[in-house]
Amino acid sequence: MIRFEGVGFRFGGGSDRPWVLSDFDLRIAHGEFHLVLGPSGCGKTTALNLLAGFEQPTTGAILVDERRITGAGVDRIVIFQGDDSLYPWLTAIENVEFGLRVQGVPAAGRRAKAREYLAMVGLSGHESKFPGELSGGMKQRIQIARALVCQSPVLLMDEPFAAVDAQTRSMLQEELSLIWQRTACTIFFITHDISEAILLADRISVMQAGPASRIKETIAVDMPRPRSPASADFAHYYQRVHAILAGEVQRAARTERESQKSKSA
Amino acid sequence: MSTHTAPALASAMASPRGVSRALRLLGGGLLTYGLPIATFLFLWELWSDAYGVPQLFPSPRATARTFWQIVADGTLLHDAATSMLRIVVGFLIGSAIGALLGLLIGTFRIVREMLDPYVNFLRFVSGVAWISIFIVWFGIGEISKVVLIVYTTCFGVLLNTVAGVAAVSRNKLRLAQCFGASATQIFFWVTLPSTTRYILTGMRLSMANAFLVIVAAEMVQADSGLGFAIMAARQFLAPDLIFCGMITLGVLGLLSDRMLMLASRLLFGRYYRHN
Amino acid sequence: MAATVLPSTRIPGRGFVVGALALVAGAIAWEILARRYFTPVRLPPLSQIWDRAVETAMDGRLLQHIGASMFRILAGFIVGSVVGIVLGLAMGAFASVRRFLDPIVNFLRFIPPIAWLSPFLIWFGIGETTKVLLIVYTVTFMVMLNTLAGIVAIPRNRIRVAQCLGASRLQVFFLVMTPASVAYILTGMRIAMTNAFVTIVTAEMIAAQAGLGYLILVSKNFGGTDLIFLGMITLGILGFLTDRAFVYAIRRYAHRYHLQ
Repeated sequence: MIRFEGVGFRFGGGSDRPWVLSDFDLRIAHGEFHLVLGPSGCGKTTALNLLAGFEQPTTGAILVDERRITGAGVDRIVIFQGDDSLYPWLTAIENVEFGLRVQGVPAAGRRAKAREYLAMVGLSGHESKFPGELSGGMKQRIQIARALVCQSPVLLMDEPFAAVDAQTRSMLQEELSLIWQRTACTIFFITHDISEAILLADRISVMQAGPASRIKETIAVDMPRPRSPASADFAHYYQRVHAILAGEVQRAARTERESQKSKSA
Repeated sequence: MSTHTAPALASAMASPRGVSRALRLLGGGLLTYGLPIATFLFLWELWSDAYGVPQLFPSPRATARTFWQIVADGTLLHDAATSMLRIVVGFLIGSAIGALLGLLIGTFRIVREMLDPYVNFLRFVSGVAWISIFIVWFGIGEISKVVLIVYTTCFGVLLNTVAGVAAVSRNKLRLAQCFGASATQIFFWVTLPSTTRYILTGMRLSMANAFLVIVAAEMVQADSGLGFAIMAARQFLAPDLIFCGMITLGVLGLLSDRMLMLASRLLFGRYYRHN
Repeated sequence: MAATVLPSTRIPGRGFVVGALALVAGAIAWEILARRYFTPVRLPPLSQIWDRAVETAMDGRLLQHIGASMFRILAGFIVGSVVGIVLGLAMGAFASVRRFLDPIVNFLRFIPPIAWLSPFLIWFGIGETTKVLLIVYTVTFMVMLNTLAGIVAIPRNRIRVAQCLGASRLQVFFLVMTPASVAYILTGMRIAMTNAFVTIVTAEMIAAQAGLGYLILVSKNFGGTDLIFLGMITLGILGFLTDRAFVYAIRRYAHRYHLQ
């Protein structure tokens, strides 16, 4: 349903800029929970931004349902890391209904729907609170509700739980898993945390270290849900993914050291 | 304490248990303000006694007496009202123009780049320097002074507004794009609410600046107003009148600032929130 | 309320070219409009202003005015900065000082510098002292408020680290608080410099015989609009150059304090 075909990307302004992504190919099926894992600086956020339509690929194409995407759209809503995409002057429920408001849904209808989805993410009773009054975990839930209320078939999540404490992260992962099973949406999720990947994913794509990176290897995670991090299966997958990732992490560190050396030279 | 009293007061009054809280805040404010002001007055009294020439350096009591006189015979009210009217009219017009222009300039990068050198240059020629030109263009009446306030307010609000537009975080805009918002929707529902805080800050700074400017303008060319009164008092060697004028300026300035802040918080409180 | 908006100090790029072109376009527009639609008294063309500039430069008057104003600005700026920094640091480091001065500062803030002109004239006469003192007043306020903001903005952990390492109160003050607030102090000084230029016109309003502000104010009385504009433009250019010099000095000597 989602296809990256030979995607290459570098920031504009001259051919002396390095390629962030090169020969990036990826296929994601309908309703799949797909995780992209990679060392820092490998360009995974760039891949997400391309899929979201915030940037255009320099070469290649990204297709959703066999159609090239031309920009951002309500069929591919992003859930950002951190809270700076929430509107601090709007209450929780006003934030959730924002998308419906843009689409022209009348006030009573959108209010009711927003309330429903806030309940789905467990925030009933907090409708009139402002994001500034809520915890990190609650704010991420608002983002999720905000995306779901528009019934987006694809959710793009950019390390959404990275800024939250471990216990909240655990809860959010569980809740996300349940929501995904209920709504049958496709999820494109970025992380650097192997455990999170194995806990959530149908398939995991490990990226190479940058620059000019691409998918190194994709593996399927064939475990029934709910998954327990303590199980033997989990450990087995963990070792597999870790092995694929480890080399890339080292390469990324080496690249960083070299660029520091050349900077101070 | 000073910059937080007003919003705290406003929010305290908003809640049901608020009245007692508000009273406590007021009491605290009086103590915080009262004690140093009392000390200031005491030192003033000492200094003026030590100076020994009441015609050149009047004591607080002499000043108070003169103050009461000019309040009673209405001259203070007349001068204060004249100055305030010029300020308020100029301020409102200037803020509106400054906010609108600022939003426009901030949204279109090319416009900002074109106007940047002019802004960088005009920063140093603000305010009083324009009074001569405005008198040449608009004559010696009210218009030249009001235009001056309009100009200085517009400038201050514009700069802050442009900064506000630039400060809208990218993810807020990107999210709106995800939902398919049109440029107009993004402008009214994301950019404008985000920038409100900056516009109001610009207005607050410009209000303080307006007092500065109007007094200078009235000293240069006027037949009424606080600036004129202070200047006249100097020519008649009446420093007690000068002090009265200065104190009135200070009080009016403080009151306007607090009222503006209160109004901002009450009307636009939600736009000051952070995440 | 100390922080005001400062224009960015960007490196020349497309913005620079666009800006320069905009200036040229503006100058041409001024020339055409002035010649065609306005009298020289209402809006003198730029060429006339330029002629006047050359004229006054030749006979030394321009330099006299520039010199008079710049002296007052710089003298006031230096004294005001020193006083402002000292007061600001004192208010920041010692809560008792802060509590005492805070309401007074907040009250005096609204009495514009020009209002002090009259008492200053009575107390200090019509000489240079009054004018310089006015600049000192403006600069002190701005620098003090920004210095205070700088101290208040120091992350508490920086002070705690020093305390862990056994620093005395005085050591904390000199080795932690002062360097940490340098960025704010310099910002405050930069803004104060701008204010000084703005205030010089006011300072030269009365009993001045030379200076750009004097030129601007006095020229309206005999229809010398071109001189008014000359004074304003010169003021703007000088202010701009002084600001640039300040930014350059900061970048060169204080970049380690993480300024932009």
